[in-house]
Amino acid sequence: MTAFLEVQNLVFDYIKQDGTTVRAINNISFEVEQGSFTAIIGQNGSGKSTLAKNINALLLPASGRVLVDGLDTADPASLWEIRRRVAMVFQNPDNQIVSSIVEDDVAFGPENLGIDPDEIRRRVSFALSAVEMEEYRKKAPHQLSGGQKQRIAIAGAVAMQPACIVFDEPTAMLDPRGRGEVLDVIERLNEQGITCVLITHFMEEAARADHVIVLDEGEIKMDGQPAEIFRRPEKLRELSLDVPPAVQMAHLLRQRGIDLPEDINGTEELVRCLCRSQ
Amino acid sequence: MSITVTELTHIYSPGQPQEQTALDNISFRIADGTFAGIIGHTGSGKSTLVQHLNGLLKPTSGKILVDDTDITASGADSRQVRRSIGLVFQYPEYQLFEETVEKDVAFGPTNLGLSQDEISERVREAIQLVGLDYDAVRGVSPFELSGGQRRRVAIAGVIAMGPRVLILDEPTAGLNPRAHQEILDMVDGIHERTGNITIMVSHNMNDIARMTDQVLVMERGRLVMDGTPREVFSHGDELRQLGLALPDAAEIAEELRRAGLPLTGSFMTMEETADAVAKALKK
Repeated sequence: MTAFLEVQNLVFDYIKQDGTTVRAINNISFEVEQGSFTAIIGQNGSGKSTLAKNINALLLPASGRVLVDGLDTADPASLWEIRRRVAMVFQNPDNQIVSSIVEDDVAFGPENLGIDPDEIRRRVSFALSAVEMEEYRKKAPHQLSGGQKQRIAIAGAVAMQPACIVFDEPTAMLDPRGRGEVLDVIERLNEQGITCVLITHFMEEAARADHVIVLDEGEIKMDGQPAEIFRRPEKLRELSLDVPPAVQMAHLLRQRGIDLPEDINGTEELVRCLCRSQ
Repeated sequence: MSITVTELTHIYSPGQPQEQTALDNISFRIADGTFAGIIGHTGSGKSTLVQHLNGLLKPTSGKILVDDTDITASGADSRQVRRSIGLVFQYPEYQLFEETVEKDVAFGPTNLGLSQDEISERVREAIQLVGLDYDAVRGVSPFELSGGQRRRVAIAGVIAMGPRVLILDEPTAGLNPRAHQEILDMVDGIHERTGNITIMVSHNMNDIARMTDQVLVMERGRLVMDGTPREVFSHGDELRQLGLALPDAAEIAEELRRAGLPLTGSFMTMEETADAVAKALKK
Protein backbone atom coordinates (compact mmCIF):
# COMPACT_ATOMS: atom_id res chain seq x y z
CA MET A 1 0.00 0.00 0.00
CA THR A 2 1.23 3.49 -0.77
CA ALA A 3 0.21 6.66 1.02
CA PHE A 4 -1.52 9.25 -1.17
CA LEU A 5 -1.69 11.85 1.60
CA GLU A 6 0.91 12.28 4.30
CA VAL A 7 0.19 14.76 7.07
CA GLN A 8 3.26 15.23 9.24
CA ASN A 9 3.13 17.19 12.50
CA LEU A 10 0.66 19.65 11.00
CA VAL A 11 0.03 22.84 12.97
CA PHE A 12 -2.39 25.53 11.78
CA ASP A 13 -3.22 28.85 13.49
CA TYR A 14 -5.99 31.29 12.68
CA ILE A 15 -5.30 34.94 13.36
CA LYS A 16 -8.28 36.76 14.89
CA GLN A 17 -9.20 40.39 14.20
CA ASP A 18 -7.55 41.54 17.44
CA GLY A 19 -4.28 39.93 16.36
CA THR A 20 -4.37 36.96 18.74
CA THR A 21 -3.94 33.49 17.29
CA VAL A 22 -6.13 30.46 17.76
CA ARG A 23 -4.59 27.04 17.24
CA ALA A 24 -7.05 25.14 15.04
CA ILE A 25 -4.80 22.12 14.34
CA ASN A 26 -2.31 21.08 16.95
CA ASN A 27 0.48 18.83 15.73
CA ILE A 28 -1.32 16.00 13.97
CA SER A 29 0.09 13.23 11.80
CA PHE A 30 -1.64 10.55 9.73
CA GLU A 31 -1.62 8.94 6.30
CA VAL A 32 -4.36 8.22 3.80
CA GLU A 33 -3.74 5.19 1.59
CA GLN A 34 -4.13 5.43 -2.17
CA GLY A 35 -7.66 4.29 -3.11
CA SER A 36 -8.96 4.22 0.46
CA PHE A 37 -12.10 5.71 1.97
CA THR A 38 -11.21 7.72 5.08
CA ALA A 39 -13.75 9.45 7.31
CA ILE A 40 -12.74 12.37 9.53
CA ILE A 41 -15.25 12.98 12.29
CA GLY A 42 -15.46 15.50 15.07
CA GLN A 43 -17.87 18.09 16.39
CA ASN A 44 -18.02 21.69 15.14
CA GLY A 45 -14.84 23.53 15.99
CA SER A 46 -12.80 20.31 16.17
CA GLY A 47 -10.65 21.47 13.24
CA LYS A 48 -11.96 19.07 10.59
CA SER A 49 -12.78 21.67 7.93
CA THR A 50 -9.48 23.45 8.56
CA LEU A 51 -7.75 20.12 8.03
CA ALA A 52 -9.66 19.57 4.77
CA LYS A 53 -8.51 22.95 3.45
CA ASN A 54 -4.91 22.09 4.33
CA ILE A 55 -5.13 18.97 2.17
CA ASN A 56 -5.46 20.82 -1.14
CA ALA A 57 -3.40 23.86 -0.22
CA LEU A 58 -6.32 26.26 0.30
CA LEU A 59 -4.61 26.76 3.66
CA LEU A 60 -0.92 26.25 4.37
CA PRO A 61 0.62 24.81 7.55
CA ALA A 62 2.09 27.08 10.24
CA SER A 63 4.51 24.22 10.78
CA GLY A 64 4.76 20.58 9.73
CA ARG A 65 4.10 19.29 6.22
CA VAL A 66 1.29 18.03 4.05
CA LEU A 67 2.36 15.84 1.13
CA VAL A 68 -0.12 15.09 -1.65
CA ASP A 69 1.08 12.27 -3.87
CA GLY A 70 4.57 13.25 -2.73
CA LEU A 71 4.11 16.97 -3.49
CA ASP A 72 4.56 19.46 -0.65
CA THR A 73 1.58 21.87 -0.34
CA ALA A 74 3.95 24.60 0.87
CA ASP A 75 5.81 24.58 -2.47
CA PRO A 76 4.12 27.20 -4.73
CA ALA A 77 5.39 25.37 -7.82
CA SER A 78 3.27 22.33 -6.89
CA LEU A 79 0.06 24.23 -6.26
CA TRP A 80 -1.70 23.50 -9.56
CA GLU A 81 -0.57 19.88 -9.62
CA ILE A 82 -2.01 19.42 -6.11
CA ARG A 83 -5.33 21.06 -6.99
CA ARG A 84 -5.51 18.89 -10.11
CA ARG A 85 -5.09 15.77 -8.01
CA VAL A 86 -7.38 16.75 -5.12
CA ALA A 87 -10.88 18.12 -5.75
CA MET A 88 -13.16 19.43 -3.01
CA VAL A 89 -16.92 19.27 -2.48
CA PHE A 90 -18.41 21.57 0.16
CA GLN A 91 -21.46 21.56 2.41
CA ASN A 92 -23.87 23.84 0.58
CA PRO A 93 -24.57 22.76 -3.02
CA ASP A 94 -26.10 26.16 -3.81
CA ASN A 95 -22.74 27.83 -3.24
CA GLN A 96 -20.93 25.52 -5.66
CA ILE A 97 -23.13 25.66 -8.71
CA VAL A 98 -22.29 28.42 -11.20
CA SER A 99 -24.26 27.67 -14.38
CA SER A 100 -27.96 27.65 -15.20
CA ILE A 101 -27.78 24.30 -17.02
CA VAL A 102 -26.52 21.13 -15.33
CA GLU A 103 -24.13 20.02 -18.09
CA ASP A 104 -22.59 23.51 -18.36
CA ASP A 105 -21.94 23.45 -14.66
CA VAL A 106 -20.17 20.09 -14.81
CA ALA A 107 -18.12 21.34 -17.81
CA PHE A 108 -17.02 24.50 -16.00
CA GLY A 109 -13.85 23.04 -14.45
CA PRO A 110 -12.52 21.19 -17.50
CA GLU A 111 -13.25 24.25 -19.70
CA ASN A 112 -10.98 26.28 -17.47
CA LEU A 113 -8.24 23.72 -17.99
CA GLY A 114 -8.44 24.47 -21.73
CA ILE A 115 -9.34 20.91 -22.64
CA ASP A 116 -10.52 19.94 -26.13
CA PRO A 117 -14.38 20.21 -26.47
CA ASP A 118 -14.79 16.54 -27.49
CA GLU A 119 -12.87 15.47 -24.42
CA ILE A 120 -14.98 17.82 -22.26
CA ARG A 121 -18.15 16.21 -23.61
CA ARG A 122 -16.79 12.75 -22.79
CA ARG A 123 -15.84 13.84 -19.27
CA VAL A 124 -19.22 15.47 -18.61
CA SER A 125 -21.06 12.32 -19.73
CA PHE A 126 -18.81 10.15 -17.60
CA ALA A 127 -19.16 12.40 -14.55
CA LEU A 128 -22.96 12.62 -14.83
CA SER A 129 -23.27 8.87 -15.17
CA ALA A 130 -20.95 8.37 -12.17
CA VAL A 131 -23.43 10.30 -10.02
CA GLU A 132 -26.49 8.83 -11.85
CA MET A 133 -27.73 12.19 -13.11
CA GLU A 134 -27.48 11.71 -16.93
CA GLU A 135 -31.19 12.33 -17.51
CA TYR A 136 -30.90 15.73 -15.81
CA ARG A 137 -28.13 17.09 -18.01
CA LYS A 138 -30.32 19.74 -19.70
CA LYS A 139 -32.17 20.74 -16.52
CA ALA A 140 -31.69 23.91 -14.50
CA PRO A 141 -30.00 23.23 -11.12
CA HIS A 142 -32.72 25.12 -9.21
CA GLN A 143 -35.25 22.50 -10.32
CA LEU A 144 -33.32 19.78 -8.52
CA SER A 145 -33.56 18.52 -4.94
CA GLY A 146 -30.72 19.18 -2.47
CA GLY A 147 -29.33 15.66 -2.91
CA GLN A 148 -29.42 15.99 -6.70
CA LYS A 149 -27.69 19.39 -6.58
CA GLN A 150 -24.98 17.95 -4.38
CA ARG A 151 -24.50 15.10 -6.89
CA ILE A 152 -24.07 17.75 -9.62
CA ALA A 153 -21.41 19.45 -7.49
CA ILE A 154 -19.70 16.05 -7.13
CA ALA A 155 -19.94 15.51 -10.91
CA GLY A 156 -18.15 18.84 -11.33
CA ALA A 157 -15.32 17.47 -9.20
CA VAL A 158 -15.28 14.10 -11.02
CA ALA A 159 -15.00 15.88 -14.40
CA MET A 160 -11.63 17.22 -13.27
CA GLN A 161 -10.47 13.58 -13.08
CA PRO A 162 -8.87 13.96 -9.66
CA ALA A 163 -7.08 11.13 -7.88
CA CYS A 164 -8.71 12.19 -4.63
CA ILE A 165 -11.90 14.00 -3.61
CA VAL A 166 -12.25 15.67 -0.21
CA PHE A 167 -15.92 15.95 0.82
CA ASP A 168 -16.40 18.60 3.52
CA GLU A 169 -19.72 17.70 5.22
CA PRO A 170 -21.48 17.13 1.89
CA THR A 171 -24.65 15.78 3.51
CA ALA A 172 -25.09 18.24 6.40
CA MET A 173 -27.83 20.21 4.64
CA LEU A 174 -29.65 17.28 3.03
CA ASP A 175 -32.69 15.25 4.07
CA PRO A 176 -32.26 11.51 4.80
CA ARG A 177 -32.98 10.50 1.21
CA GLY A 178 -30.48 13.03 -0.18
CA ARG A 179 -27.87 11.88 2.33
CA GLY A 180 -28.32 8.27 1.25
CA GLU A 181 -27.93 9.22 -2.44
CA VAL A 182 -24.73 11.19 -1.83
CA LEU A 183 -23.19 8.46 0.33
CA ASP A 184 -23.92 5.84 -2.35
CA VAL A 185 -22.19 8.05 -4.92
CA ILE A 186 -19.13 8.47 -2.69
CA GLU A 187 -18.88 4.70 -2.20
CA ARG A 188 -19.15 4.09 -5.93
CA LEU A 189 -16.45 6.64 -6.77
CA ASN A 190 -14.22 4.99 -4.19
CA GLU A 191 -14.83 1.57 -5.81
CA GLN A 192 -13.69 3.14 -9.11
CA GLY A 193 -10.36 3.92 -7.46
CA ILE A 194 -10.76 7.53 -6.33
CA THR A 195 -9.27 8.16 -2.88
CA CYS A 196 -12.13 9.59 -0.80
CA VAL A 197 -11.81 11.70 2.33
CA LEU A 198 -15.17 12.38 3.96
CA ILE A 199 -15.49 15.01 6.67
CA THR A 200 -18.70 14.39 8.58
CA HIS A 201 -20.39 14.40 11.95
CA PHE A 202 -22.73 11.54 11.07
CA MET A 203 -21.49 8.32 12.63
CA GLU A 204 -23.47 6.04 10.34
CA GLU A 205 -21.56 7.63 7.42
CA ALA A 206 -18.20 7.11 9.11
CA ALA A 207 -19.21 3.45 9.65
CA ARG A 208 -19.04 2.97 5.85
CA ALA A 209 -15.39 4.11 5.55
CA ASP A 210 -12.31 1.82 5.86
CA HIS A 211 -10.46 4.22 8.12
CA VAL A 212 -11.82 6.66 10.71
CA ILE A 213 -9.98 9.59 12.29
CA VAL A 214 -11.64 11.34 15.24
CA LEU A 215 -10.61 14.96 15.75
CA ASP A 216 -11.26 17.06 18.82
CA GLU A 217 -9.83 20.47 19.67
CA GLY A 218 -7.42 20.21 16.77
CA GLU A 219 -5.95 16.89 17.88
CA ILE A 220 -6.42 13.30 16.78
CA LYS A 221 -8.19 11.50 19.60
CA MET A 222 -8.87 8.19 17.84
CA ASP A 223 -7.56 6.62 14.63
CA GLY A 224 -8.46 3.18 13.29
CA GLN A 225 -10.99 0.99 11.52
CA PRO A 226 -14.67 1.75 12.25
CA ALA A 227 -15.03 -1.34 14.48
CA GLU A 228 -12.06 -0.24 16.61
CA ILE A 229 -13.54 3.23 17.02
CA PHE A 230 -17.09 2.12 17.84
CA ARG A 231 -15.85 -0.35 20.43
CA ARG A 232 -15.36 2.63 22.76
CA PRO A 233 -18.76 4.35 23.08
CA GLU A 234 -17.80 6.07 26.35
CA LYS A 235 -14.81 7.70 24.69
CA LEU A 236 -16.98 8.87 21.76
CA ARG A 237 -19.61 10.29 24.07
CA GLU A 238 -16.85 12.15 25.92
CA LEU A 239 -16.01 13.76 22.55
CA SER A 240 -19.74 14.63 22.04
CA LEU A 241 -20.13 12.12 19.23
CA ASP A 242 -22.83 9.52 18.83
CA VAL A 243 -22.35 5.84 18.15
CA PRO A 244 -24.39 4.17 15.38
CA PRO A 245 -27.77 2.80 16.59
CA ALA A 246 -26.74 -0.88 16.34
CA VAL A 247 -23.63 -0.22 18.44
CA GLN A 248 -25.76 1.59 21.02
CA MET A 249 -28.27 -1.28 21.08
CA ALA A 250 -25.48 -3.87 21.51
CA HIS A 251 -24.19 -1.83 24.45
CA LEU A 252 -27.66 -1.71 26.09
CA LEU A 253 -28.10 -5.47 25.58
CA ARG A 254 -24.72 -6.26 27.16
CA GLN A 255 -25.82 -4.19 30.17
CA ARG A 256 -28.87 -6.48 30.32
CA GLY A 257 -26.66 -9.56 30.54
CA ILE A 258 -26.67 -10.60 26.88
CA ASP A 259 -23.39 -11.88 25.55
CA LEU A 260 -22.42 -10.15 22.29
CA PRO A 261 -19.12 -9.83 20.41
CA GLU A 262 -17.28 -6.50 20.61
CA ASP A 263 -17.16 -5.71 16.89
CA ILE A 264 -20.81 -5.05 15.99
CA ASN A 265 -21.08 -1.99 13.69
CA GLY A 266 -24.37 -2.46 11.90
CA THR A 267 -27.89 -3.77 12.37
CA GLU A 268 -27.26 -6.78 10.10
CA GLU A 269 -24.45 -8.05 12.33
CA LEU A 270 -26.52 -7.44 15.46
CA VAL A 271 -29.44 -9.42 14.02
CA ARG A 272 -27.12 -12.24 12.96
CA CYS A 273 -25.55 -12.50 16.44
CA LEU A 274 -28.84 -12.34 18.35
CA CYS A 275 -30.82 -14.67 16.14
CA ARG A 276 -27.99 -17.22 15.95
CA SER A 277 -27.95 -17.50 19.73
CA GLN A 278 -31.66 -18.38 19.60
CA MET B 1 -55.15 28.03 22.71
CA SER B 2 -55.97 25.39 20.08
CA ILE B 3 -55.54 25.19 16.31
CA THR B 4 -58.23 23.72 14.07
CA VAL B 5 -57.52 23.32 10.35
CA THR B 6 -60.47 22.50 8.11
CA GLU B 7 -60.26 21.37 4.47
CA LEU B 8 -57.19 23.50 3.79
CA THR B 9 -56.10 23.61 0.15
CA HIS B 10 -53.33 25.66 -1.43
CA ILE B 11 -52.69 25.76 -5.16
CA TYR B 12 -49.54 27.50 -6.43
CA SER B 13 -49.90 29.37 -9.77
CA PRO B 14 -53.56 28.42 -10.36
CA GLY B 15 -54.53 28.37 -14.03
CA GLN B 16 -50.88 28.45 -15.16
CA PRO B 17 -49.01 25.57 -16.81
CA GLN B 18 -46.92 25.14 -13.62
CA GLU B 19 -50.06 24.89 -11.44
CA GLN B 20 -49.36 22.72 -8.41
CA THR B 21 -51.53 21.60 -5.53
CA ALA B 22 -49.23 22.05 -2.53
CA LEU B 23 -51.88 21.34 0.11
CA ASP B 24 -54.82 19.12 -0.71
CA ASN B 25 -57.87 19.25 1.56
CA ILE B 26 -56.14 19.00 4.93
CA SER B 27 -58.03 18.81 8.25
CA PHE B 28 -56.63 18.31 11.76
CA ARG B 29 -56.78 19.72 15.27
CA ILE B 30 -53.97 20.51 17.71
CA ALA B 31 -55.19 20.82 21.30
CA ASP B 32 -53.86 23.33 23.83
CA GLY B 33 -50.41 22.51 25.24
CA THR B 34 -49.66 19.83 22.63
CA PHE B 35 -46.17 19.21 21.23
CA ALA B 36 -46.90 18.28 17.61
CA GLY B 37 -44.46 16.94 15.03
CA ILE B 38 -44.80 17.19 11.24
CA ILE B 39 -42.93 14.63 9.10
CA GLY B 40 -42.81 13.91 5.39
CA HIS B 41 -40.02 14.09 2.87
CA THR B 42 -38.84 17.16 0.99
CA GLY B 43 -41.63 18.54 -1.20
CA SER B 44 -44.47 16.91 0.76
CA GLY B 45 -45.94 20.29 1.76
CA LYS B 46 -44.64 20.62 5.35
CA SER B 47 -43.21 24.12 4.92
CA THR B 48 -46.25 25.32 2.94
CA LEU B 49 -48.46 24.09 5.78
CA VAL B 50 -46.56 25.87 8.55
CA GLN B 51 -46.50 29.10 6.54
CA HIS B 52 -50.31 28.98 6.51
CA LEU B 53 -50.42 28.47 10.26
CA ASN B 54 -48.91 31.90 10.90
CA GLY B 55 -50.66 33.69 8.08
CA LEU B 56 -47.68 34.06 5.73
CA LEU B 57 -49.63 32.23 3.02
CA LYS B 58 -53.37 32.44 2.39
CA PRO B 59 -55.18 29.24 1.44
CA THR B 60 -56.94 28.76 -1.89
CA SER B 61 -59.80 27.30 0.16
CA GLY B 62 -60.46 26.01 3.67
CA LYS B 63 -59.89 27.70 6.99
CA ILE B 64 -57.72 27.80 10.10
CA LEU B 65 -59.19 28.59 13.50
CA VAL B 66 -56.84 29.69 16.27
CA ASP B 67 -59.09 29.33 19.30
CA ASP B 68 -62.25 30.87 17.81
CA THR B 69 -60.59 33.33 15.44
CA ASP B 70 -60.50 32.48 11.73
CA ILE B 71 -57.03 33.67 10.67
CA THR B 72 -57.82 33.00 7.01
CA ALA B 73 -60.87 35.31 6.95
CA SER B 74 -60.52 38.31 4.64
CA GLY B 75 -60.67 40.82 7.50
CA ALA B 76 -58.18 38.95 9.71
CA ASP B 77 -55.43 41.02 11.30
CA SER B 78 -52.39 39.23 9.87
CA ARG B 79 -49.98 41.25 12.05
CA GLN B 80 -51.78 40.02 15.13
CA VAL B 81 -51.63 36.45 13.79
CA ARG B 82 -47.88 36.61 13.17
CA ARG B 83 -47.34 38.07 16.60
CA SER B 84 -49.20 35.26 18.36
CA ILE B 85 -47.83 32.43 16.18
CA GLY B 86 -44.04 32.50 16.00
CA LEU B 87 -42.41 30.72 13.08
CA VAL B 88 -38.70 29.80 13.15
CA PHE B 89 -37.57 29.09 9.59
CA GLN B 90 -34.92 26.59 8.53
CA TYR B 91 -31.41 27.95 9.08
CA PRO B 92 -32.84 31.01 10.90
CA GLU B 93 -29.31 32.22 11.71
CA TYR B 94 -28.99 33.34 8.08
CA GLN B 95 -31.49 36.07 8.95
CA LEU B 96 -29.39 37.65 11.71
CA PHE B 97 -28.18 41.07 10.65
CA GLU B 98 -27.69 43.41 13.62
CA GLU B 99 -24.32 44.30 15.11
CA THR B 100 -25.09 42.90 18.56
CA VAL B 101 -27.12 39.99 19.88
CA GLU B 102 -29.24 42.33 21.96
CA LYS B 103 -30.15 44.55 18.98
CA ASP B 104 -30.99 41.58 16.83
CA VAL B 105 -33.36 40.05 19.37
CA ALA B 106 -34.90 43.49 20.01
CA PHE B 107 -35.71 44.08 16.33
CA GLY B 108 -39.15 42.42 16.39
CA PRO B 109 -40.39 43.82 19.72
CA THR B 110 -39.22 47.32 18.69
CA ASN B 111 -41.45 47.09 15.63
CA LEU B 112 -44.38 46.19 17.87
CA GLY B 113 -44.15 49.70 19.31
CA LEU B 114 -43.52 48.56 22.89
CA SER B 115 -41.94 50.75 25.57
CA GLN B 116 -38.16 50.64 25.95
CA ASP B 117 -38.47 48.92 29.36
CA GLU B 118 -40.82 46.29 28.00
CA ILE B 119 -38.47 45.64 25.05
CA SER B 120 -35.42 45.25 27.30
CA GLU B 121 -37.31 42.91 29.58
CA ARG B 122 -38.51 40.72 26.70
CA VAL B 123 -35.05 40.59 25.14
CA ARG B 124 -33.46 39.54 28.42
CA GLU B 125 -36.09 36.85 29.00
CA ALA B 126 -35.86 35.49 25.45
CA ILE B 127 -32.06 35.28 25.54
CA GLN B 128 -32.22 33.46 28.87
CA LEU B 129 -34.96 31.15 27.65
CA VAL B 130 -32.81 29.93 24.74
CA GLY B 131 -30.07 29.08 27.22
CA LEU B 132 -27.58 31.88 26.55
CA ASP B 133 -25.88 34.00 29.23
CA TYR B 134 -27.52 37.42 28.75
CA ASP B 135 -24.68 39.49 30.21
CA ALA B 136 -22.03 37.58 28.30
CA VAL B 137 -23.63 37.70 24.83
CA ARG B 138 -25.72 40.89 24.74
CA GLY B 139 -22.96 43.08 23.32
CA VAL B 140 -21.35 40.44 21.11
CA SER B 141 -21.79 40.34 17.33
CA PRO B 142 -23.95 37.34 16.38
CA PHE B 143 -21.30 36.48 13.78
CA GLU B 144 -18.69 35.77 16.44
CA LEU B 145 -20.82 33.00 17.93
CA SER B 146 -20.82 29.29 17.03
CA GLY B 147 -23.46 27.92 14.63
CA GLY B 148 -25.54 26.47 17.46
CA GLN B 149 -25.39 29.74 19.44
CA ARG B 150 -26.34 31.81 16.39
CA ARG B 151 -29.37 29.60 15.91
CA ARG B 152 -30.38 30.21 19.55
CA VAL B 153 -30.14 33.97 19.01
CA ALA B 154 -32.41 33.67 15.96
CA ILE B 155 -34.93 31.65 17.97
CA ALA B 156 -34.75 34.21 20.79
CA GLY B 157 -35.76 36.86 18.23
CA VAL B 158 -38.99 34.96 17.56
CA ILE B 159 -39.63 34.29 21.27
CA ALA B 160 -39.20 37.96 22.11
CA MET B 161 -42.34 38.64 20.05
CA GLY B 162 -44.25 36.83 22.81
CA PRO B 163 -45.88 34.19 20.60
CA ARG B 164 -48.49 31.84 22.04
CA VAL B 165 -47.64 29.09 19.57
CA LEU B 166 -44.06 28.29 18.53
CA ILE B 167 -43.43 26.59 15.18
CA LEU B 168 -39.93 25.38 14.30
CA ASP B 169 -39.08 24.21 10.78
CA GLU B 170 -36.23 21.68 11.15
CA PRO B 171 -34.56 23.46 14.06
CA THR B 172 -31.55 21.11 14.15
CA ALA B 173 -30.72 20.93 10.42
CA GLY B 174 -26.97 21.03 9.83
CA LEU B 175 -25.96 20.90 13.50
CA ASN B 176 -23.52 18.40 15.00
CA PRO B 177 -24.69 15.88 17.63
CA ARG B 178 -23.95 18.05 20.65
CA ALA B 179 -25.56 21.22 19.27
CA HIS B 180 -28.45 19.10 17.96
CA GLN B 181 -29.18 17.76 21.44
CA GLU B 182 -28.74 21.18 23.05
CA ILE B 183 -31.26 22.79 20.71
CA LEU B 184 -33.78 20.00 21.34
CA ASP B 185 -33.33 20.30 25.11
CA MET B 186 -33.91 24.02 24.71
CA VAL B 187 -37.10 23.47 22.66
CA ASP B 188 -38.34 20.96 25.26
CA GLY B 189 -37.57 23.43 28.04
CA ILE B 190 -39.44 26.27 26.32
CA HIS B 191 -42.43 23.98 25.74
CA GLU B 192 -42.49 22.97 29.39
CA ARG B 193 -42.01 26.49 30.74
CA THR B 194 -44.62 28.16 28.55
CA GLY B 195 -47.12 25.29 28.24
CA ASN B 196 -47.89 26.60 24.73
CA ILE B 197 -48.49 24.57 21.59
CA THR B 198 -45.15 23.72 19.98
CA ILE B 199 -44.98 22.43 16.40
CA MET B 200 -41.74 20.97 15.05
CA VAL B 201 -41.03 19.93 11.47
CA SER B 202 -38.30 17.30 11.44
CA HIS B 203 -36.68 14.52 9.44
CA ASN B 204 -35.34 12.90 12.59
CA MET B 205 -37.73 10.15 13.64
CA ASN B 206 -35.90 9.55 16.93
CA ASP B 207 -36.56 13.14 17.99
CA ILE B 208 -40.19 12.97 16.84
CA ALA B 209 -40.75 9.70 18.74
CA ARG B 210 -39.16 11.00 21.91
CA MET B 211 -40.53 14.54 22.08
CA THR B 212 -43.98 14.81 20.52
CA ASP B 213 -47.55 13.99 21.63
CA GLN B 214 -49.02 14.10 18.12
CA VAL B 215 -47.52 13.36 14.72
CA LEU B 216 -48.84 14.60 11.35
CA VAL B 217 -47.51 12.78 8.28
CA MET B 218 -47.55 14.67 4.97
CA GLU B 219 -47.23 13.19 1.48
CA ARG B 220 -47.72 15.09 -1.81
CA GLY B 221 -49.70 17.82 -0.11
CA ARG B 222 -52.04 15.44 1.69
CA LEU B 223 -52.23 14.59 5.39
CA VAL B 224 -51.90 10.79 5.36
CA MET B 225 -51.58 10.02 9.09
CA ASP B 226 -52.43 11.85 12.31
CA GLY B 227 -51.93 10.19 15.69
CA THR B 228 -49.64 9.65 18.66
CA PRO B 229 -46.04 8.69 17.77
CA ARG B 230 -46.77 5.13 18.91
CA GLU B 231 -49.77 4.87 16.58
CA VAL B 232 -48.03 6.46 13.61
CA PHE B 233 -44.79 4.47 13.93
CA SER B 234 -46.73 1.20 14.21
CA HIS B 235 -47.40 1.63 10.45
CA GLY B 236 -43.84 0.76 9.42
CA ASP B 237 -44.67 -0.59 5.97
CA GLU B 238 -46.81 2.41 5.00
CA LEU B 239 -44.19 4.88 6.22
CA ARG B 240 -41.50 3.09 4.24
CA GLN B 241 -43.64 3.32 1.12
CA LEU B 242 -43.70 7.08 1.68
CA GLY B 243 -39.89 7.03 1.82
CA LEU B 244 -39.86 7.67 5.57
CA ALA B 245 -37.93 5.77 8.21
CA LEU B 246 -38.88 4.56 11.68
CA PRO B 247 -37.12 5.60 14.88
CA ASP B 248 -33.90 3.55 15.30
CA ALA B 249 -35.44 1.64 18.21
CA ALA B 250 -38.40 0.52 16.06
CA GLU B 251 -36.20 -0.15 13.02
CA ILE B 252 -33.93 -2.51 14.97
CA ALA B 253 -36.91 -4.23 16.62
CA GLU B 254 -38.47 -4.82 13.21
CA GLU B 255 -35.28 -6.36 11.78
CA LEU B 256 -35.08 -8.70 14.77
CA ARG B 257 -38.74 -9.61 14.47
CA ARG B 258 -38.22 -10.43 10.79
CA ALA B 259 -35.33 -12.70 11.75
CA GLY B 260 -37.65 -14.63 14.07
CA LEU B 261 -37.31 -12.99 17.48
CA PRO B 262 -40.77 -12.83 19.13
CA LEU B 263 -41.18 -9.10 19.87
CA THR B 264 -44.64 -7.57 20.19
CA GLY B 265 -45.74 -3.96 20.38
CA SER B 266 -44.10 -0.82 19.05
CA PHE B 267 -40.86 0.69 20.30
CA MET B 268 -40.04 4.36 20.64
CA THR B 269 -36.79 4.33 22.64
CA MET B 270 -33.66 2.16 22.51
CA GLU B 271 -34.19 1.18 26.16
CA GLU B 272 -37.68 -0.16 25.38
CA THR B 273 -36.31 -2.29 22.56
CA ALA B 274 -33.37 -3.53 24.66
CA ASP B 275 -35.73 -4.55 27.49
CA ALA B 276 -38.03 -6.44 25.11
CA VAL B 277 -35.11 -8.18 23.36
CA ALA B 278 -33.56 -9.23 26.68
CA LYS B 279 -36.91 -10.61 27.79
CA ALA B 280 -37.48 -12.50 24.52
CA LEU B 281 -34.00 -14.05 24.62
CA LYS B 282 -34.26 -15.18 28.22
CA LYS B 283 -37.52 -17.07 27.61
